[in-house]
Amino acid sequence: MFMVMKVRLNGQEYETDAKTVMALLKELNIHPERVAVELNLKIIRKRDYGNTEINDGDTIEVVSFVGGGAIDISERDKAGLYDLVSIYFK
Amino acid sequence: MDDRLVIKGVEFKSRLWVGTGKYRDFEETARAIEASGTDVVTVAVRRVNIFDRKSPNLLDYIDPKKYKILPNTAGCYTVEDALRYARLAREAGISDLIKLEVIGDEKTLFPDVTGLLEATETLAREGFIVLPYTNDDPVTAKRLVDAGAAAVMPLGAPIGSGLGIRNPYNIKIILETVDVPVVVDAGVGTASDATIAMELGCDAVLINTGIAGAKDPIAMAEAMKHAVIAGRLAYRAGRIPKKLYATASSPLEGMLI
Repeated sequence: MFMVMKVRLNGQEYETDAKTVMALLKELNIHPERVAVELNLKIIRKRDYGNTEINDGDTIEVVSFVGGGAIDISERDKAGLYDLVSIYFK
Repeated sequence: MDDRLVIKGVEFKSRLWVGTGKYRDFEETARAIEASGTDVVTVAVRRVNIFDRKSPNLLDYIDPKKYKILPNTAGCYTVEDALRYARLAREAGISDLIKLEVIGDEKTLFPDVTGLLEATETLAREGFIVLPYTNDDPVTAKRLVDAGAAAVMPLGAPIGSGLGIRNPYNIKIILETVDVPVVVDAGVGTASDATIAMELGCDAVLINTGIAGAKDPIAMAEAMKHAVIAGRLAYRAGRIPKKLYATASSPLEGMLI
């Protein structure tokens, strides 16, 4: 059965038919090695990507390392950090 | 001369640690890091740009096999955020190292000390090797070590300010107070600042803006490399005491009169 789910991915609405975290990363062409995935505020271990299901309405964050010692305020907005903070406290 | 820096079993070849923010592009980042001779780079944790997968990734330019990746919690203003970012960083990376930042004020980026202590304790309990960015207060440094910090990273001056080591005496007292490595983090503006930190006896110096913000970041990276080596050597060599009056360095014997 083909079913499209609506999730919130990195702060934006996203439609996917990926059933697991692993499938989602594959769909996004993201190598699992270099990222961390949070599903509804819970960090998913890499070994669990294949058996962690994605459901309609889920909030998913995919993060990786970017350049930074400490960033200044103007760059913080660019990085979408405030957005991430607001999601956390929603 | 065996002069290695080891923090909780992790060996650091370089006493200059380099941040990876604020460079023009990844190419410049990579060249500056190369010129600095470092083996430790700090990185931040941010959302992957999922809608532009063509955008380059930092780790395409910085080989994690060649450099130790030290993730930070830069930009976190609460304990909850710092813990969240630290845990994400551990999952995205390969080690338990975390440069812990809990920022207390936007204008100065000074640390929130109470939050820092709480986050340090929690993360240390979870098996992280916690390196907290703290202010230059010896009492706080001691408390952080008691809470499980593997090293302390006092600021020389506010992040990105380039004001140098504003309170060398406090840094000195921190060095005498704690029995973990002390890494000056933030404030280093030019080579002499890095040398001063090392001459005080600090175990390493972390520099980002001081290099990335220089007119020629590659040249400044090299300058910082030499500065840290010189400062460390001078510290180990043991400086002469400061005196008010002159002491002749040439013999008086054998003079013509």
